[in-house]
Amino acid sequence: MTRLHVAIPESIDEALGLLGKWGREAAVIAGGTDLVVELKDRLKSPKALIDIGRVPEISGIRETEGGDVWIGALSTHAEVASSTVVKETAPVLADACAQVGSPQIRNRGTIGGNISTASPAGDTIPALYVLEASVEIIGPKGKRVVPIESFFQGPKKSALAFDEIVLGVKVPKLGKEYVSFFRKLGQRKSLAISIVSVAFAGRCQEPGLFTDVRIAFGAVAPTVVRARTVEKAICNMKLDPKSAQYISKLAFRDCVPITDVRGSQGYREVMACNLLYEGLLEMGRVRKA
Amino acid sequence: MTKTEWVGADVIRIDAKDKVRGVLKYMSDLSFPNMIYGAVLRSKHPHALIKKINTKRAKELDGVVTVLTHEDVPGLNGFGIAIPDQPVLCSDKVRYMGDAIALVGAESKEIAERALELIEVEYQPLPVVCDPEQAMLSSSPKVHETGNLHNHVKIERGNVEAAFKEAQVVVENTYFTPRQMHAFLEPESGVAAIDEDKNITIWCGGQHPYRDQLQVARALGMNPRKIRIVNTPTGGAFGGKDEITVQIHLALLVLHTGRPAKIVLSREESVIAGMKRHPMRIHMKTAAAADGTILANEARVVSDTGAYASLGGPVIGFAIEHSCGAYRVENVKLEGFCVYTNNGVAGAFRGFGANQVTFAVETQLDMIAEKLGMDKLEIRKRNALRSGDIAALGHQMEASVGLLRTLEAAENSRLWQLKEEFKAKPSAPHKKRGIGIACSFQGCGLGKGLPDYGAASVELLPNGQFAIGVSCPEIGQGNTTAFAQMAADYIRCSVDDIVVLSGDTGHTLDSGTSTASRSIYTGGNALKHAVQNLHNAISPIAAEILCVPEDDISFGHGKIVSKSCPDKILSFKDIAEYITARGLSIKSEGHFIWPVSETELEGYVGIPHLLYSYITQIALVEVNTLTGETEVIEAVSVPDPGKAINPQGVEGQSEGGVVMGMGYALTEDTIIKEGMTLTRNFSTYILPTSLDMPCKIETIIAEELEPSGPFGAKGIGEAVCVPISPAITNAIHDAVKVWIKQIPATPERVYTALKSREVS
Amino acid sequence: MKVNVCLFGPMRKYRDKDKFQLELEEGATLARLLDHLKIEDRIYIVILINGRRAYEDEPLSDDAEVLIMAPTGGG
Repeated sequence: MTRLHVAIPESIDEALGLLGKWGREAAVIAGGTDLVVELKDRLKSPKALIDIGRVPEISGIRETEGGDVWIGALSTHAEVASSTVVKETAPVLADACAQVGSPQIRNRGTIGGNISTASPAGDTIPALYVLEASVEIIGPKGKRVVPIESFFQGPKKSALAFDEIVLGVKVPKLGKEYVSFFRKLGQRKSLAISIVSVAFAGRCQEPGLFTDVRIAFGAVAPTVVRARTVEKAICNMKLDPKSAQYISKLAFRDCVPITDVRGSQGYREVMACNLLYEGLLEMGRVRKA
Repeated sequence: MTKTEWVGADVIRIDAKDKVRGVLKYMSDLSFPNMIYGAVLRSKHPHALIKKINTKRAKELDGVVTVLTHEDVPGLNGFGIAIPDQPVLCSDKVRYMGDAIALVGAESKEIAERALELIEVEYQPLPVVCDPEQAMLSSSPKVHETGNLHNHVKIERGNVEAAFKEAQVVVENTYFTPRQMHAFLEPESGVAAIDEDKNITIWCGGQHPYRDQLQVARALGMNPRKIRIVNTPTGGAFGGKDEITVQIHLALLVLHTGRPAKIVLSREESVIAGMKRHPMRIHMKTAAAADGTILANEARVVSDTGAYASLGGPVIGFAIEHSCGAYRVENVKLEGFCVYTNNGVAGAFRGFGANQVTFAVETQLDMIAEKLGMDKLEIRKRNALRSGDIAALGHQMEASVGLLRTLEAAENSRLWQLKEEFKAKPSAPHKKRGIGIACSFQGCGLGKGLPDYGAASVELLPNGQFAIGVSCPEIGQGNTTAFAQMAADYIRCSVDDIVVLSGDTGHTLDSGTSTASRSIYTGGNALKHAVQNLHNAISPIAAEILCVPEDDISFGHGKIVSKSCPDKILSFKDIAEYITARGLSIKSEGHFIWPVSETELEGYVGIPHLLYSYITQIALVEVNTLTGETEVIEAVSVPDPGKAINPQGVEGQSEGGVVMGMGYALTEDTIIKEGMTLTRNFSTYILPTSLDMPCKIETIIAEELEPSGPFGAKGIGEAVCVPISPAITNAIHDAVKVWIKQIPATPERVYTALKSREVS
Repeated sequence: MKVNVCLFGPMRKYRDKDKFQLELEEGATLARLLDHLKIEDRIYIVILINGRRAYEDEPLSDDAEVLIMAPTGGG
C-alpha cells in the first residue's frame, strides 16, 4: 500500500519548504471539505498532505492600516459569517458565508479553501467579486497580490501555482451608502450546491438610484463572472419594480451556463435574471412604482 | 375489551436510550478477531456479456485472503424473493452497473478495494435497454432471455367506454414518477462468522430473517438450519433491505475462508447497486358525473423494475389494486406492465406501488373537482369507500374502513378550517400560497393467495419477567416497543418486565416480514395466542400453590389472584421461583394466519387485500413564482392505523412519512442515463434536510378499530408517506394554477410549467 | 395417519387440487410428504405444520395441517 505522508507545519516558511520539497506530489489541506472528498473519490492521489491548519500567519480577521479588511485564509465560513467587522463593512460576504453548505461544513471549510478550489459554484466568490477583493499569495519568490477576477481561470483552475499558498483576502470596505445582497438558488435549503448564485453591491444615495453597481454570478460560467452589461444598465437609473424586472433580464448577457444534473442551461440563464430581480425587490431599495 | 394499561400510551421506545446515546451496536459496528473485509467488484457496463474473468493478479496481492467468482457459489447462483433471476456473482452477463462479478476478502478494507482494481474482466458491451416502453417492443434487445416483460396485470370491470360517454367530466393525463431511494442511514452492511461444524451466523440489516436464511441456503446449497440470520437492529430499511443485500456474499466469504467477514457498502455503491422505488409512467383517464361521483377509471401503468425482478411483480399488482384510490369506482379498465431494463434495480419501497398511482389518481380527482366547481374535500367524501362497499378490483371492503373518519378529522383541522387565512399571507408578493389535500389506502399484509402467517413466543424468566420473541425485525419503526406494550397488556404485567427478542432465526419463531404494514398486526395476534397458552400453563401451577381450582385463577395487574378468595395472591415472580426450584420452565408459542379477502382474481397472487389502513393528508405550500421553488409550510396528517398501540410512535411514523413523501414530491430522483447513475451521492440525490421540513406537521390519529387486529390495530408504516405527495402537488396547483404531472416538482419543472401556462 | 395439505401460489403446480388429504405411514417426516408430492426445491420453500414453521426432517402427526408455499413478500 502506498503511504500518505502528513506534515503539520507551524509557520508559513515551514509550509512553503514542505511544498518545495514535495512539489506537485503534495496537497495542501485546511478544512478538507473539498479535498477529502476528492481523495475518497481518487480524483487526487497525493503522496503528502500538508496541513496548514496551525500556520499562524494565515489566520484571523482584522482591519488593515490601509482601511481594508484582511481575512486570513484559515478563517472558516462560520467565523467570517459571524465576524462583526465583516458584517459591518462587507455584509454581502458574511451573508454568502452563512449560506455555504451546512453548520458542519461552515465550521470546517475555510475561505482560503473556497478560493483555492476555484469552483464556479463556490458561494463566497461572487461576494468577493462585488467587493473587488484581492487574493494574497505567497510562494518561493515571495508575496504577490492578485485581483480576485484575475485569480480564477476556469473550473478548478486558478492563478495559484503548485508551490504557492493563499495567505488571505484583502477586502475593501463598502461605504455606508452601499447596499448589497447575496442570493443563492439551490436544490434544497441546506447542503446545496448552487444552481445559480448572485451577489450585488451598489451605492444607493436615494431610493431606486444606484451608482457603482457591481453584480457577480456563480455557477453560470466556467468561473464566477461580473455581469457588466446589467451593472451599467442599472447605474444612474431610477429603479422601480417594473424597470428592475426589465433590466434584470440583461443579466444573462454575461452568463454562459451549462446543463448539468442540477439544472439546464436555459433555466440557469433565466434564474440569473430572476434572482437578481428578486434580490432587488427584497432589498426594499427599489422605488415603489 | 378490558381497559388497557400500556396499549394506547406513549411508552418510551425500548431502544431509545441506547440509540440516543450512540451505545446501540448496528451490524456494521460489530467486529470479530481475525475478521476479513469484503469488497465487491461491480460491473463496468450497464449491459454486457462477460467474456473472461481473471483474478490471478488480485489473488497475488499481499493481504488478499480470497477472491471469489461465480465458480465459487456452491448452490444456486441466484437470488430474488419471487424468482432467483439476480446472480450472486455474474458468470456470463451483466445487466446493470451494480451487478456483482467478484468478491474479495482481505486483511483490510483498503487492500480489498485495491484488489478489485487488479481483477481483469473482459466485456462485450450490449445495447443498453433504458426505456421501459421501448423495452416491451419485440425489436428491443433482451435483458433476460425470457423477454423484458416480467409481469402483466389486467383487470376490467363494468363498462368504461359507456361511462366515458355519459360522464359530465372526463380527464386524461400521463404522469411520471421518479426512482426514489430508500436512503437509510445505515447502508447495506453486515458481518458473518462460521463455526467448526460449518454453522454460519450472519448479522445483517434485513426485513425477514427466515427468508434471508432460505435465500442464503439456496445459494450455498446448504441446509437452512445451519444458517442463523440476525436482522435486529437494522439502521433503516423502508423496503430496501427486504431483498438480499450482502448476506450471501458474507456467507460465501466465511464459507471459503473459515474466518469472520465484514462487508459495508459505501454510499456510492449503495446508490448504484441497491434497490429503488419503481419509476412508473401512468396514463389515466377518469370520468365523473355532475355531482362528482367517479364513474370510471382507466389506467395503463408501466413500471421499470430495472435489471432484476425482486418484488417488481407484486409491486405492479399492488399499484393496480390501488390505482383508483380509496374510492368506489364501478367501471375500471386497469392494466399494468412490469418491465426489465438496464436501469439499476427496483423493488420493495414503503408504499409498494401505491405512491405512484396515488399521485396520479389524486391529481385526476382535483382536476375533476375544479371542472365541476366542487370542494376538494367534498369530492373525496362523496367517493370515499365505506365498509361493505365494492372496491375497484370487485372485492368487498370486509374489514374496518376509516377513510371518512380521516376526512372528517382533516376537515376539522386548524389548517383546513383557516385555509383562506393561511393562503392570504405569503411571505412576499411574488410568492403564492396554496393548500392541497389527498387521500389513500394501503393494503396491509401480503394479500390473497400468499398465506401470511406469524408466530410469537413468551417465556417466563426466572426473575419473574417475560421474554417475548417476534422475528419481524426492528428496522426503526418501533415495533419492538409495540410488541412489549401489547404483551404486557395481554399478560397483565408491567411493560418494564418485558424483554423483547427480535429478528433472529436463532431466538425467535418465524413471524414473517417487517414489511407490508403487517408486523404489529401479525406479531400482536401471535402474541395474543402465545399469552393465552402462557396463562393456560401458569393457571394449574398457581392453582396448585394457592390450593384453589384452576378455573378460580385470574390474571390482573402483575398478579395472579384467586377469584373466590381475593387475598390469595401470587406474583409472576412467585411462579417463576416455584417452577425454577422444580427444574421446570414455561415457554409458550402462539401462531396466527391472516384472514384473506373472499375475492379471488384468477391468475394473480397478492391482490386483493382484506385489510387496509386509510389516510388523509393536507399540505400548505408557498411557491416562488420567480424561481419555481416550493416550500411546504405546514402539513396535517390524519392516519387511521386502527388502534394506535403507541400514539407517539404513530406520530413519529407520520412525521417521517410526510417528509419522505415531500422528498418524493419535490426533490428526490435517482437519475440514470444510458444505464449510468448520475446522482451517486447525497450531493446530487436531493433528500430534504431539517431546514426543508415543514415548520409544523400536525398528526391527528383517527382510529377505526379493526375487530381482527390486536386491540383493534391495523398497520401504518407505509400509508403515512403516500398521499402527502399529491397533497403537495395539488397545493402547488392551488397556489399557481399549474398541474404537476411529473414528480419531483423541482424548481425548474415548476418554473417551466408556470412559463408555459403564461404562454398558452 | 392422515394429514391435511394446502398448497399455495406456485406450489399448486404439484397437484391438481390445492387442498387435499393424504394418507401417510405412521411416523412419516415432512421429507416423506415432499417426496410424495414430488416437490423438488426443498430449500426455498416455506412449510407450516399447524401454523408453525417446519423443516423437512420434522415428523408429522395425525391430522396435522400442512401449508406449503413459496416464500414471498409484499407491500
